[in-house]
Amino acid sequence: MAEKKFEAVQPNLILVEGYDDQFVVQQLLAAEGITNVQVHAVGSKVNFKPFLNAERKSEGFEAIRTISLIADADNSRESSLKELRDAFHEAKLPVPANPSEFAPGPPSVLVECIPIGRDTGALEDVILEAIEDCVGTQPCWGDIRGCLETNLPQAAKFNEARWNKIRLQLVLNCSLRGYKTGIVYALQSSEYAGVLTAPCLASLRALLHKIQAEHHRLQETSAT
Amino acid sequence: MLSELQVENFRSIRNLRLDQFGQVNILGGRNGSGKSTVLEAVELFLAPEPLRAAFHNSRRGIDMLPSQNTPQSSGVESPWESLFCDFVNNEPARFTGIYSQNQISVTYETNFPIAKTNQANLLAQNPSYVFSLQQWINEARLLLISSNRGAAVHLESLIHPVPDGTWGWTASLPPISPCAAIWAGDDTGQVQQKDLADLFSVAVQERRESFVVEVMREIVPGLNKLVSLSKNKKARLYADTGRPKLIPVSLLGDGAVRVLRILLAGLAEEGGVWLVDEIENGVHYKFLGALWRGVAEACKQKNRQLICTTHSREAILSAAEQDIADLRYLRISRKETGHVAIPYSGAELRDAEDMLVEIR
Repeated sequence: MAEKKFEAVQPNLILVEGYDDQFVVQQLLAAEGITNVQVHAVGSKVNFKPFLNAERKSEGFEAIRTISLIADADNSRESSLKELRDAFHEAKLPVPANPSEFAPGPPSVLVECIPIGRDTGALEDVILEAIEDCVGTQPCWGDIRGCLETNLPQAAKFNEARWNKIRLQLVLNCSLRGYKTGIVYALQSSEYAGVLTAPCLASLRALLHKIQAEHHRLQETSAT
Repeated sequence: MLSELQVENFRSIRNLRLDQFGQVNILGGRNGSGKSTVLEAVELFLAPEPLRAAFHNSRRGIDMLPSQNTPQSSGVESPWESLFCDFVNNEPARFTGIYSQNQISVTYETNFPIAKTNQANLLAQNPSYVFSLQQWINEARLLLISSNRGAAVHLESLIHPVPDGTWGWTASLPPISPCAAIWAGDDTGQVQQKDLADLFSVAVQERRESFVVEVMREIVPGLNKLVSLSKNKKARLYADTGRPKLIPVSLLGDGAVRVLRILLAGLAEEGGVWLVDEIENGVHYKFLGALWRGVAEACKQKNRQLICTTHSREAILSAAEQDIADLRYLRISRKETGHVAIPYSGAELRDAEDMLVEIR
C-alpha cells in the first residue's frame, strides 16, 4: 500500500518516533480537547533530522508555529535529548536549551523524552504503568521473566530494555479481538478506558497543554 | 554558466532572487508560481531582444499586436503591459545576474528611447544594456499583425509586407539563434519539428549521433539509427527501426519526438543556457530516466546549462535518481512579500522522498 505524503494541516506539529507513539499522543490530545495539533510519526529517532530538513523546505512549513519532538528516553535521557536538539540544529532551526521549554522561533521548538522526568525508558513503560493502574499487575511476570532469563540460549540473552515492551504487547495481544493490535486497541477498548487519565500520563498531558499555551501566546503576539 | 539571477517587476514576479543554479536545473512549484516566467526571464536576460518578449506573449496567447488599420482606441490591449508586474509599466522590468562570471543587467521599459543596438556581442561588450520597447511599439503599431507561433524573428531582416495588405512577419527563427539562451521542447519554441533534421546533422557532424540513438533506443526499442534524407529539397529525419522501410521520426510518437527535439537542441550549441518548459510532457514515466541521462550528458558534452520546469514528482525524483553531478531543484513559491526559490540538491530530494515530504 502506498504511504501517504506528509502535509502540515495544523499550526502545531508534534513529531514522534513510531505509529504507537503517534496514536497515544493523538488520543491524549483528543481526550484533552486539543484540536490544533498534528502528530506525525517519522519512523525512528534517526529520522527526525532528515524529516525536519525536508519539511523546512516544503511549501507548508511557514504555516507551522510550533514543532515539538517527543521521543523515547531509551537507555539515556540525556543522549536522546541531545539527538533531538541536534536534529533541530542540523535543520537550521532554533535549539531548545531545556526539555519541555520552547525555544523561540519561528517556529517555536521543543524537545522532550518519555517517560518525562526519568533517565531511561520508553512510551511502553508509561502505558504499561497506566494499564496496570487500571487493571492491576499480573502476578505471573516474575515467573515468566525468571523462566526466560534461565532458559534463553546464551546468544539470545534476556534484554532488560525490551521487557516492558514485551509485557505490554503480551497483555494487550491476549485481549485482542479482530485485527486491531497493541496500544491502538487498548486505548479504544472499554476495558482500558481509564488508561488516558492515569496519573502516570499527567506530565505528558501537561506537555500537550504547554504546546497549546505556546500557540495561544504566539497568536496573541502576532495580533499585537 | 548562469549562476545568479534577480528578476524584478516582470509578469507576476515583483521580486525573485535565484542564486543556486547548477548545470541541470529543474523549476517546480504550484500553478501560477512563476516557473515559466523564470524561463522567460532567463531568456530575456541572456538573449535580450524585444521580439523575444513578443514571442513569449504570443506563446501565452496574448494577441498583442493590432493591425495597421486598428485604431488605438479600439480596446486592443497594450502590447507590452503584460510584461510588467500588475500591468504597471512605469517601472522597468529588470533582470540582474551573473553569467560566466560577468555581472549583467538588462532592463525592459516602455518609455526609454534608445538607438537600436546590435545584440550579437551584447553579453561580451555591454554589461548593462537597456532596450527601448517604446521604439518597438512605434514600429509595431505600423508594422505588425497578430502573431502566432514562431513569432520570434530577427527584427532587422524580416519585417516586410504580408499578403493581406498589413505589415508583419511570417518567418520564424532559424533553428538555433546565436544567443546564449534558447527555448526548446515545445512546438512554439525555436526548435520545431522541421528543424530536427538540421539539428541532427549538427550532431552527426560532431559524431554524436550514436549517443543520440543510444538515448532514443531506451524510448524506441529497436531503433537502429536515425537518418537525415532530403525530399523536395527539404531535409527530413527518418528512423531505422528494423522494418522494411525507414519511418519519419514524427511517427515514433509525440513523447519520443519531444525527447529527440530537446536532446538535439541541447547538443546543437556549445555553452549557453537551454530552456525547456514542462520537460516531462508526453514522456512516459519509465522513460524519464533516459531523458535525464540524455540531457545531463548533453550538458556535460557541450558545456551547457539546462533550466526546465515540471509539475511531475516522478520527473523530479527520476532526475534525483540519475546521479547527475550538479543537479538543482528550485521550488518557486509565491509569498505575500514576493517570490522565493527554495533550492534542493539531488540528495535532499531523495531524503524528502524517503521522509514522505512533499517537494512540489
